[in-house]
Amino acid sequence: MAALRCALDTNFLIDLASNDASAVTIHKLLLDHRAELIVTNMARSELENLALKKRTRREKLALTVFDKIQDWQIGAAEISPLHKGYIEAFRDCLIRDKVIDEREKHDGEIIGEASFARADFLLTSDEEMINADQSVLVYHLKNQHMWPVNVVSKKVFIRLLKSGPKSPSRATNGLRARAPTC
Amino acid sequence: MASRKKSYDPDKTEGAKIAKENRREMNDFSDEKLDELNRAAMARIYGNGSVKVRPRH
Repeated sequence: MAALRCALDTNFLIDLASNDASAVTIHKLLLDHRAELIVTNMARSELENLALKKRTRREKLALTVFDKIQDWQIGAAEISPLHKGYIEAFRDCLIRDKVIDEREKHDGEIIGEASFARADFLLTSDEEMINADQSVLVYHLKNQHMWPVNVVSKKVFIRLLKSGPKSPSRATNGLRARAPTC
Repeated sequence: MASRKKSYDPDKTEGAKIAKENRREMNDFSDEKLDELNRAAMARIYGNGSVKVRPRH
């Protein structure tokens, strides 16, 4: 059986760098489950942007991530330029269907990247992503023949990982039926 | 009067706040700028030779 693959959003990595209790716990549980941990292009770009904020706590945390990411056993998933067009089209559909706001367009891209990296889960504390209409999100992923990545919060993920020896399956609780427009 | 301890929410962290502000700040970055940042990040992680995750079968 393929190992669980989990894409980590920027916020999770920063939390790990700052020794946030829930991030440390989840990271340990994921390694215990022999999960494959990845970080995608957008998260890396965001970390680099934070690292450029000289003499700030942001810089310090981002540099800690870069320094420890290999020790944390987190690999880099490289999204090819060919896939970027698909990811942008996917993001535009999410915006059109109001799954995400136009001002949060990078949320859509990081979900698309996690899907192209074939992640089972995208672990994030991003409020807009967590609160996005998951049924429409799943619809667009399926409709565009994309890998069905689950966007989950830390709170939900801890519960899933602790729920038993089996790998977490799709977290489809709270789905609402709504007809997408594209 | 008893003080009410603020409960810890794993999704309302410093990382969530920093990352969200940063993501919004980067909203207008061009694709070229994002690629440049990504390359710089890869160089920080792996030096000049990048290591990629193998494809999943």
